[in-house]
Amino acid sequence: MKRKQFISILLAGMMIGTMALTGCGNGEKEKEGKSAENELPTVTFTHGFYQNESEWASAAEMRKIYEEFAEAHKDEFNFVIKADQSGTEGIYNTALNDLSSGDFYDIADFGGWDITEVAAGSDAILDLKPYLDEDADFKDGVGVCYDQNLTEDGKIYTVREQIEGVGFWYNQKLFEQAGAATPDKWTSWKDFDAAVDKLAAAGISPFSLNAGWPTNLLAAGYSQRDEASREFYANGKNVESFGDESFKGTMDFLQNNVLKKIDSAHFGPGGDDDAQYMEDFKSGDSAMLFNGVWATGEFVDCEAGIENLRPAVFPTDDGKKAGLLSGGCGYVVSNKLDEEQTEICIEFMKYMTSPEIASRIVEKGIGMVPSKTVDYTEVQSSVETPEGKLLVEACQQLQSADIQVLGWGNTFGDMESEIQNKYAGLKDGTKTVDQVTEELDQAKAALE
Amino acid sequence: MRKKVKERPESGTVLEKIFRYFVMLIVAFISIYPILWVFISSFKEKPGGLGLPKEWVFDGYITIFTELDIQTYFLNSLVITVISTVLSVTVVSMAAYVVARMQFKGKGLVTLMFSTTLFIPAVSISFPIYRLLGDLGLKDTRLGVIIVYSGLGIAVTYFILHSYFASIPKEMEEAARVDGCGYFGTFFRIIVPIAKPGLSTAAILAFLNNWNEFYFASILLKSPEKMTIPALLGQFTSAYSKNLNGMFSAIIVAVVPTIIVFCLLSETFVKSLTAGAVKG
Amino acid sequence: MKKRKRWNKKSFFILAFIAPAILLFVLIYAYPLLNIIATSFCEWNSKNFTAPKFLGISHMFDNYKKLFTIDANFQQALINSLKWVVLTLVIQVPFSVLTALVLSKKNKGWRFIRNVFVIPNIISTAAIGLIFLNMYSPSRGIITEICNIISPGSNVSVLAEENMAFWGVTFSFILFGGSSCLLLLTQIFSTDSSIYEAAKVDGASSLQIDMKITLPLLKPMIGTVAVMAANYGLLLYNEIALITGGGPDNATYSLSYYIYKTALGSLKLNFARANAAGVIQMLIGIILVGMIYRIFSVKKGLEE
Repeated sequence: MKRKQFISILLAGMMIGTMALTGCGNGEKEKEGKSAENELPTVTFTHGFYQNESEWASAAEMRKIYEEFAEAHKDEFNFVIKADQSGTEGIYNTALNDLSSGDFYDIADFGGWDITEVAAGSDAILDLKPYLDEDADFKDGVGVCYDQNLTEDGKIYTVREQIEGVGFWYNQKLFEQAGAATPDKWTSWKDFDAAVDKLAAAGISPFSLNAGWPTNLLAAGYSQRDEASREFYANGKNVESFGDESFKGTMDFLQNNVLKKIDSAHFGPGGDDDAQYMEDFKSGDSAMLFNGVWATGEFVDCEAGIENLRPAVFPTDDGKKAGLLSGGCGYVVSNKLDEEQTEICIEFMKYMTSPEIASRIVEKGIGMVPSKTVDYTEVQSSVETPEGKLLVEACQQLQSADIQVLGWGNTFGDMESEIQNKYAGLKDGTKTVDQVTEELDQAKAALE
Repeated sequence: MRKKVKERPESGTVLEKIFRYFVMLIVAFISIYPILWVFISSFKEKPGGLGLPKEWVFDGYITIFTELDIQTYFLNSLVITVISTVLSVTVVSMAAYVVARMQFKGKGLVTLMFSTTLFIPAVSISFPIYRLLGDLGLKDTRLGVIIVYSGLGIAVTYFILHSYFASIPKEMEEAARVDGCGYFGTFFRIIVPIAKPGLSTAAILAFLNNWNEFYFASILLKSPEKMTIPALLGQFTSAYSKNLNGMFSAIIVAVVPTIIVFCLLSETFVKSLTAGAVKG
Repeated sequence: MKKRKRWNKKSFFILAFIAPAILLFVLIYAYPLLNIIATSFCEWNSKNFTAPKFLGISHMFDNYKKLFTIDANFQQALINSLKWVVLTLVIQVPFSVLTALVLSKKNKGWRFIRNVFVIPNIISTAAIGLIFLNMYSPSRGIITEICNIISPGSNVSVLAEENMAFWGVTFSFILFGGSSCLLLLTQIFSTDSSIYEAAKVDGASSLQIDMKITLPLLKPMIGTVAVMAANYGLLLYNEIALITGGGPDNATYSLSYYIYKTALGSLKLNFARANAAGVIQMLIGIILVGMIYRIFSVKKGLEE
């Protein structure tokens, strides 16, 4: 009896097993059949916009943009579009695994996960610079990505149709209440300090922060204050010592002019889950929000009133305006494709960075674009919603800022998390600036 | 429904009984409270805090059931987990039996080998496995995941079964041998039935581990029609990070079927537990 | 002659039974195992991702040296992981044993409690991580709310303070010994009941039976459970990744989390250093298994 049971379980297992097996077999056959049907060249493009429309409307719009490209060229080639269900992080992880066994995607959108160094080190990806150099429109379309992604040995491995654009937001009403000068009138960081003090005196929390993202943005903004600091920041990937006077100045500013100006209720622990700083701004409790241009979608129907909220870029002490524009890692193309396939990939990237698609990305509120070809005044008139108008205005300010630099994370790489680890200690005074920079140097040494 | 002869509670002093119920109460609380908290929160517009929701919201559930193909994920998880569990318990039980009951050279080496697998970092296995499945043409297939899962739990299954086989009296085997049973016959006819409680517990643990495995599932399975429940949960947490109500509903949807499956399974296992107790 | 034939049959049987498991091992673990050990003496990061390079005889221990001299995150991780191992051994294992003993008395509701206790082990650690993350959250979590009732305005944020965060992570797993309890219960029920009957006839109280008969008989299984629990404590990963991300200020790093961070979670992709840490993790693990087996004399039970 018992033996029978055991065997029957085994048999059942095998049966299901064969079922699964044959299931897989069928799948593969189908694929083969498809490519045998027509003789057109095939390129597979993988992206991370898998979410359905109700979860995230932008993802559905992006997929539509891709599909239109495939559809328009269906007589010339097969452009297979695949969404990775684990998002861009999944794409990155798969790419690493692929690289370890000598493969790579045909073309994929890495959405900020930087694969270029390791993929280039493994000689797996294509240098896009020649293609950018021979086509001025393409080069304009990728905007800041051209310079930002130019490697030390003169190659460009990635371009992107969207970029992370960051200035900050403020609540005009609260500034007026406190009688403080609004950021559009600021000409130096002294004005920032004055406004913060006036807001605090009026019982308004100047900003909500946490030990991470929003504080990083403010630190990155302040780092553009003068020539020396900008130079240190631009060299962020190869910092020799964090004991540099300008970096110390930034930390000192954070400690005394920023973190100590707010109480602990306005300072969260940080991490992906901590969005209290956002809530505080939306509810009209704090006067400034350090977050990217895309935040406008969050402002709809908020208590603070979307009509009171304004975008701004950072001041500098030498009369300029600064914004953070990080291209980061986007489309990466394999260098193992044949000429025809490579052309298809280039065609696709040109399409994604074309003025039409760029305008569409802004209009639909998906995000900011690097393209220099977008006419924001025109887009402004075609957008109707208040959050759409705010987004366009914020993009326009950033695109016309005198100084456009990479964000904190792109600048300091792995050190980003080490730096933000120190914010809590700076705030409650358990760490001095000298201690912080010393610890950072140690952490930096440990990374090598 | 269930009628068990042995269902007679052991007596004890009142004090002992009070203590026992106290322990049971604590266990119940720590086990149920977290999941209950999530359950209640999933109906709140702003999840969190103490107490019942002021207004019951069902948005999260509606999205999940109308927009997502839950049953496919669930079926995948079931097929992959059941086959890999059966496979791994069968294979490992044979090895564990031989090592536990017989003398041969290299016994210690086998145990050491399996012990090391407990502590190998997942990150380090990932590349070679991915390459292996690529070479076998099993990337993005359920079969590939089944093979990997069969191997992942080797050590734990081995330890449990090893100690279980070792506790079976030697006389049982000898008697079987005298009756003319060969080695294979002894194992399948005598040892397996006796060791059923151990086998089923090992199977439950292997089942749970495989059911919840996330890392390899997300690396190896890419097509939505092949994904498993944990991969689904992973998706929720990124897609719904701004929508806590949805996220909490997702946790409940991912977890409740698992609990039901476990309870069903455990009842069958419990029967074998009491039936297979070692006599003599 | 006859004996010889029997021996052949026996070795064939041993081989036939052990081969499939060895095959599984070789397929999945053998190469990684050698790879980890070999590459821990190499330079292997994003710059030479497909071609690890041996450090040379005079520098071959450089990765290990760096771990113990300049890498504060690793040192923190090592200390934390050892702490977690000890904590699982002194909290989780005794708690599971106690629960198993209590449930073995079959007082009303024991089945329910037995099943319920396994629930936290059934739920994926990903979900458990999310649950605790939300419970600890100052804005919507319950811990802050309770603390505010006890001491109004305290606004405790569990995950923001180094010491509390460590305990926050600890309590997200330490009490969940359901599957251990299940294993122990199985073992208790498979013990010959006539031993207990005899003891009862002799007038032993149930506490005496537990201490003098059940526990000693349970010893080998407690050993197995301890190995599993210690293994969990040593390899703790999901809870950390989801709840604290290693913070605040890297105070809640574990070895596994360090390994992940160093290998995959950093732009540098320092696989060589991560694998050196992996080798240390394996060594600790094997020593631990050996120690636990010695203490619970599982070996003796096995070789009887």
